[in-house]
Amino acid sequence: MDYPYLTCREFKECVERFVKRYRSALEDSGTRVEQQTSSTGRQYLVLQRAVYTKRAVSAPVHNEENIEDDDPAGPVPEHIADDGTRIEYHTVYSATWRVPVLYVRVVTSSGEVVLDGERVCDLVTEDVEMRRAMTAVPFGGALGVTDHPELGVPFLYLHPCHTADLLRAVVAPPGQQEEIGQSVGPDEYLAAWLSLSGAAVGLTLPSIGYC
Amino acid sequence: MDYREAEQRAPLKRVWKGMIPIELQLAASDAIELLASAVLPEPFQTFYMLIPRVGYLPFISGKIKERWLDPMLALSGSRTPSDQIEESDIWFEYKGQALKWHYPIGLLYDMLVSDVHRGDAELPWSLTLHVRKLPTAKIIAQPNGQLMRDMFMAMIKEADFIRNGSTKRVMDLAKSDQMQFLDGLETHSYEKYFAIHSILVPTATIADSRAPVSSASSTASNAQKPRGAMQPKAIPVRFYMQTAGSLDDGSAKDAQAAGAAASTSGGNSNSNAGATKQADIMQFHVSQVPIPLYREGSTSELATLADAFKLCYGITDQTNDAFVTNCACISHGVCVPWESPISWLAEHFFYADCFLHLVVVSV
Repeated sequence: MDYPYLTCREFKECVERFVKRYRSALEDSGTRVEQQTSSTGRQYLVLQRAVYTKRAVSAPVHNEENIEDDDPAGPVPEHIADDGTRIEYHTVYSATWRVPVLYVRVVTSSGEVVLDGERVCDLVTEDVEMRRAMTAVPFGGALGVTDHPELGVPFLYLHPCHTADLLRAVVAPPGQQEEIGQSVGPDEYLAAWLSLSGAAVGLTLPSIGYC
Repeated sequence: MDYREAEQRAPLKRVWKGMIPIELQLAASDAIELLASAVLPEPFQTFYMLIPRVGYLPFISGKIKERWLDPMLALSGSRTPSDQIEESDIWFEYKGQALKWHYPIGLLYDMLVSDVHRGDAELPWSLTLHVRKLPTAKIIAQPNGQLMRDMFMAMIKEADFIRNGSTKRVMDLAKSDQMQFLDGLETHSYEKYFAIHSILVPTATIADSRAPVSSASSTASNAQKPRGAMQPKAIPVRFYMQTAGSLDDGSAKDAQAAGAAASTSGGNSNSNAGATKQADIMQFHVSQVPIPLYREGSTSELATLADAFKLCYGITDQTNDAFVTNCACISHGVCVPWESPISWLAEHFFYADCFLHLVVVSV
């Protein structure tokens, strides 16, 4: 393997190995895993999970007689709710960049597709430094919008040439980044790549036991 | 510029200046909402415009609004005509299909209008303009100049990467050059655009840069090596192949099989001599593979359009050429001979985003 670059065939193998190793851990954590084959016979990987949206809950209404008990400065509690919103992550091979590219879309329970990069980041990108780095990328930010290469409908996608920029926002001790490349083979390629790219859009992988 | 250079540039200039006349009518539902009538005031019923093949729809929306929609609303008594419609509300439809506004205009025409390859296609191109309810499941929302510029630059970066192995040329462009480049695109100015294009793609004069002749396929193999400093690693190419099914409902015919079917004497299952079924934009399979300049294993035989097609669609049998008879390849409204060297096409037939966009239909 010419790490970090892949051929289409190597990518297919990486997808198969990833699914084999991570499917049950991902499904246990609430992420659906599907290995899709496009109309051209090309493989791509789909991960899907719920998006937990923060919803403000209004403060309890006090009886007017007890008005001196009101605490006007009291915090408004928030609920993390599963309102049926789902996020999909599609990992598709790019013959141009010779690496996988991550395509993302959020679908609400009413079927509305959310393709506003800022709104999606608000929902899923927790790290503030990461969000700042993503916005700073030239030509519109790190999250672009285009047609999904296999489905032909609009999706957000992470600009592949700026994956490196994002990686710098994720703190890694100097001198250790090179070590990552040397130890990643087809078994762990997609897991490593998804851990790095997925962080930008709220995708984290569960750890799995090694046999 | 000496006469040789001018002669070499001639096809490129003709490609750049290619225009399509369009005839626009406002969607009835939008007319009713804006004007309380499906019938527009007399001078505004139809709007005609010449639009550049290498341009993009969001860059013409502003003119359409300014010259047609706003005056129409003003005439109908609206007090704030320019507030009623945002440019990003505007989208275009052809025979029931929302047009992908991030595709070059000429590409959309070549894909969707019947009989382009027969030289008998519909002109003017009759489109319906909508200003409400953009179908966000089908086309990208909020078409506007800035988003179009960002998407365009993403293609330019990708083309740079394919040609040079890095995006350095694009990223090193001075801000003023980048502005001029985009300005040249938006205003359809050959001089402004190509002044910067020549920085991104320095011309490598290929010795045998005569236009391809349809009979002799040996012209490709007799070509000399390109001289000049910059030989690209590969050429940015996208094929748009018409297939039987639809891509997003999972019932699509395997496009590889379609490519293979195109290679058999039976031809593509879509073909039906004489009948021209309306093309569906969702039925086109898009394939993008960097194409090397030379045939595999050779440093002198230039790769042809047919070679590129085989590479894209995984046709490994080098003798399997039946698709050459069964399919036509269209670009810029022209039927491109299958034996054309990719190198020649790369120098003369690219779109503004530096890609070759090639439509393949059965004949």
